[in-house]
Amino acid sequence: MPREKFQTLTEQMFYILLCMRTECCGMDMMRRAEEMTGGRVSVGPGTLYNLLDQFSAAGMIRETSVEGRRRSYLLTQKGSQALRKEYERLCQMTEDYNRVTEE
Amino acid sequence: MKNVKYYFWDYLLYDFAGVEERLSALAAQGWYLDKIGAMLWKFRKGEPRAVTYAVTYVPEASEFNASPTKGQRELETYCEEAGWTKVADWFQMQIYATEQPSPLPLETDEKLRLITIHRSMRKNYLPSSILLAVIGVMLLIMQGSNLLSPPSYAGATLRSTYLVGVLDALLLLMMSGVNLGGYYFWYRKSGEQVERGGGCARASFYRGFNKAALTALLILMIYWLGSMLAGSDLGMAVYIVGYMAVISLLTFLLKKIQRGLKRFGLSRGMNIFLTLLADLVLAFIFIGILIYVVLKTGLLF
Repeated sequence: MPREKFQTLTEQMFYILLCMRTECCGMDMMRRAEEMTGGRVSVGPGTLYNLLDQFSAAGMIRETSVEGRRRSYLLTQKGSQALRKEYERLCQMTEDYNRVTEE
Repeated sequence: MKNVKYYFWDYLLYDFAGVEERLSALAAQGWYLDKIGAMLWKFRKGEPRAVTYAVTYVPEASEFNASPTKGQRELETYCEEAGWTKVADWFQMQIYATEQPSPLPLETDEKLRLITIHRSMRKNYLPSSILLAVIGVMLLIMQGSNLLSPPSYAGATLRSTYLVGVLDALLLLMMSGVNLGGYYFWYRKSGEQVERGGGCARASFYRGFNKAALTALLILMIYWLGSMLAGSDLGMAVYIVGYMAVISLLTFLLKKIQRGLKRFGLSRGMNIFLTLLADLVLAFIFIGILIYVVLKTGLLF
């Protein structure tokens, strides 16, 4: 797999990062991602754990609080930039699609 | 009727699909995973049920950790939230089960699953496979040079020992090669499939080969022992059987020691050090006793 890590985001990555625009507990992210997408995107617990681990190692999120078993996270500036970059890439793709299909 | 059964577990650490399917199939027959051993997995009898097993990986997990890592505990929290119960862990592999009819899968991102598996394999599966291959090469060189230029005192028995040593080394090399090469091809194929939006590749090719290689090894050892006994070389046969018994006992004891050390809450590094130290000391004692017995009874002369 030659592509650099997080250069493009999968849907699960995108929606989990989106959850953390505000402080969010890991346990709530699975539910929130499903709610945001009307059930279209599901994030499994194994995927969620590994995503949080990878995002944390990449400096894209930070742990904000721990209450018993509930760990909360928030996007860092780097994470916000990655999310914004992905959003712009998706918008570009939409524009390209609209332009080509209208020709 | 037996309530406990042991299975020789020949699945490789990255064969998550194979492990999941096998555990689910056994649960449907009423056998539930109880304990994971060095080569044998223990199952306990219960009522047959439709249980779905799923596997995920935590790269920093280790058999030498005194307790689950922060990451393993966090993963368990998320899995419980989704209705999965932790069953066991096997090195970096975390095994979960659920009886929900349509459970949320543990893994929903195949690209990330592949990245995590590779990170986990780099921790111990790949280094240990490479080490086995290196040992195979060293054994081949040592036994091969003895076979080609045997010392002047080497009789027929010793020369046959060198030949068996060469064949064993070749088998070890082949198994290491197939396992390493197999992982490389699985990883590459999985990467291609995942890039196209599919899932990781299946990894079932190795089991047949490993079974055949282990069977060949067993036949070789039985033939060699048999030929020594037929040639009235009882002493050497007793020594070899004793040596294999010592290795089996050592493996069993080290697993017990490794588990026992965890209760003291020591660090992973200290556990590894103490286990290796115990390995060295026990090997020295057991082999020493074996050699003493063989020499004292004059079996080798």
